[in-house]
Amino acid sequence: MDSGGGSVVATMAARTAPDPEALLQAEQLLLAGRYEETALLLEPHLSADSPSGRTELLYALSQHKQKRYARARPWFDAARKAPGDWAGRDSCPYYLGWCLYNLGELDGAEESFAEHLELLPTEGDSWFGMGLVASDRGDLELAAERFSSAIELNAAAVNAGRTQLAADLAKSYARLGETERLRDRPEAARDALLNCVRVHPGHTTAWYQLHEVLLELGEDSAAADALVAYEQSKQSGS
Amino acid sequence: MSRSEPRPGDRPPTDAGPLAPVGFVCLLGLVACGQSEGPAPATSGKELATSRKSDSFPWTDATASSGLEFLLRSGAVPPTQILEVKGGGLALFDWNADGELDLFVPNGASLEAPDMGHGARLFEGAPGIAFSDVTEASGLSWSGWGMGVAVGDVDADGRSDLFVASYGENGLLMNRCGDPKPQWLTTADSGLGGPADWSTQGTFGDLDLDGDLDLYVTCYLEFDIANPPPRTEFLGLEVFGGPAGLPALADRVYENRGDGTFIDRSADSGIQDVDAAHGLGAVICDLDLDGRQDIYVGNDSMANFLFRGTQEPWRFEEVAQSLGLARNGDGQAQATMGIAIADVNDDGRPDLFTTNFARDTNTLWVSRGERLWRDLSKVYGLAASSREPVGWAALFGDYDLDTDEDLFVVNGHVYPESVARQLNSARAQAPLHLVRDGNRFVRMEPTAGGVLAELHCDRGAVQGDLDGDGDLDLIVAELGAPLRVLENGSGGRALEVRLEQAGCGNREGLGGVVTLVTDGGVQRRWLASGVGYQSCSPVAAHFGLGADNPQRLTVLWPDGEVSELELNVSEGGVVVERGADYVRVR
Repeated sequence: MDSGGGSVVATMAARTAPDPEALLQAEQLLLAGRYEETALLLEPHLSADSPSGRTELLYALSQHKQKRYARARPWFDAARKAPGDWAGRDSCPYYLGWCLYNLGELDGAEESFAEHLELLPTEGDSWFGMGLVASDRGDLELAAERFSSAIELNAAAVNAGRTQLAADLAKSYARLGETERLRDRPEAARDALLNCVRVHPGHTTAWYQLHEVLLELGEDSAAADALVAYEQSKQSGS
Repeated sequence: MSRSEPRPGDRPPTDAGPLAPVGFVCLLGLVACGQSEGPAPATSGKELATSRKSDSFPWTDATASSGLEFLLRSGAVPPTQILEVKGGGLALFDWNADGELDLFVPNGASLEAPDMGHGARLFEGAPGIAFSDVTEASGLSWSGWGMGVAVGDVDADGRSDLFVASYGENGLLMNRCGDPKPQWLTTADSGLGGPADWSTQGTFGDLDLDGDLDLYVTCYLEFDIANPPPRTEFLGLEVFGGPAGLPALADRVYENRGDGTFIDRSADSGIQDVDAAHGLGAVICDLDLDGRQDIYVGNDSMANFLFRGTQEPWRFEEVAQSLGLARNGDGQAQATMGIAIADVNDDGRPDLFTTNFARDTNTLWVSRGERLWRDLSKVYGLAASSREPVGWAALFGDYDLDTDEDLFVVNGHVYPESVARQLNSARAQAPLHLVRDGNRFVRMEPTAGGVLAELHCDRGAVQGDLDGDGDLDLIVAELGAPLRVLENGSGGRALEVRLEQAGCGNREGLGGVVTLVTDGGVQRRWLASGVGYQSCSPVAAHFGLGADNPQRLTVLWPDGEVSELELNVSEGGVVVERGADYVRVR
């Protein structure tokens, strides 16, 4: 499959790294969701042969945030290989893992998530990504283990004050619920999905899956309520 | 349909990628990232199906020697409007009853002259893979903007007629083969007039079980060439407008009077009791095995419909949500281009497979008994390989003749190359050949220069044993490009079963189910119409035999009657005549 327009930039001659002020500006643009402007600012400074690391990472993030995974991928990879101890280096395999997962490359995704976990063992989201990989492979037992690891780490992080990870906790419960359902363990699935919507009442997917699993359990009234919650969540744009 | 990737706090969590961008926060130096010890990551201890089949499959591009040198047209390349990217149907059938498969191509038109298209073509097949263009000689004349095509003997005269779903007026082409010329008549007074809007597919089926073929017409959206929708934004890129935001057209259903004229049953049948949706195709068969034909409708980025036949004639109820078939397992409505049916879990009930857009996955709904289906795409290994491409025609078939059904999916983006390249793909994409391996489907490895490595912008596809060697070959339609013939070199033992109901329009038994019992197991095929994408393959149950020996057949006819027949053939082609207690060797 064609890797997209990223290669066009990659074929250009090696560039000079942007000055720190430009990098700061790129970070601010990125945080503001102005991804195209971020990309335009950084493109002249990208180098596949001698990456500065942080430049390529920020550029890759500008593509990743627009779901342009094929374009982002080579630059996450370049950043990952860049020398030095620069800020954000450890996150490269994490994002590369998501790129590869979304491109359907499960082996590479798993390796990248594992690499990230070696660097940052307490980050639950790479366990979550590894759980998705296992799920895609049909290894449901391993997927459940990995989602459980993600839940454990995310719950600990939330309890330690990183409340922004509540969403990660919820989605880990949701995928554990899905996995338990696929393992024909509907009661465990229901419990995990209920945990999900307790943490995040607007989790549309969890409400839908809860509806389906409650139907399977013969809890028709509760299933109908879950469907209503799903519709409400969907309509509220969440 | 794409998954969202929300920012913390303002959207619900999904798993398409990093939600709370932990590394992102770290890299901006806003907080310190922990470095404490934790559990070592576990890797899978099992050998589970992400590895692809490394052996090559004997597909050969036989187009050059086939006589099928034909450029399929559908607007311009690159496309500028949504109308140009949705067509591409084919029909593989025996138009003149000579025992050879022929090919009908509805073909498209252009934005400049949508009613005066490039003209449908009819290619007559000869033994081997050899086609010749007999369009003019046959009297066939159709030049609308054809999309989907349906094949059926609507007037019960023993000859297969054609319905062409179109942008503009649909066409009913009556086959008069054997009569003095002209041999094809385009009928205007069939009762199928309806509004000349945008129909994407017609699907024949005996919906009232009276023996003739009724018609379901899937309709898409309101589109005015003179006043096209404004361009819009997709993932930050400017693209042509639609389907989102454009008014949907209601589908239509017609009852056949038995003579090839139809009564519009849309308003009183229940199929218009739902909100109109962007329909791309429909399959007709008895999905819930209650003895009545059902209609499963694939809608573009809107919930799919399942119109279940009720005890009341010409009355359907929409039940997709309650059966788990409206949305995928995440509760997301999907693009649903192609639809295919097989019994992947060997429980005797039909399972449904649909193809979808990029950054989504194709979906396999597997029956759970008691009229419930569940999205098991991941469990069966069908998710990962489909995240990148945009899928269209999907066909189940035992391509390697090893007694289980594999999958073939053709792909191609909707957006021009300049846009697609900025996303994750190119406009042209490789097909997916997914081989059944135990409880999983495994992608057949594309080999350099091979058919599976070639990039195309495909839409429709049909399959049949074109060269008589027992295996299933394919013909694929690519937009703005030549048709392709993919010859399967597997060869081997197979049994092809056709049904025959004499004296009625549904003479080929559309909607029936054929079950083959061998000394190695049981195989089952649904003779559903509308599978693939906008296309019609021959109405036949094709079984790979491997080393198994056929023993008996069970035929569930569309009206629920059952025939049990002993087999005295080891392979080849047979015909089951309704009412007979033997099979006829073809």
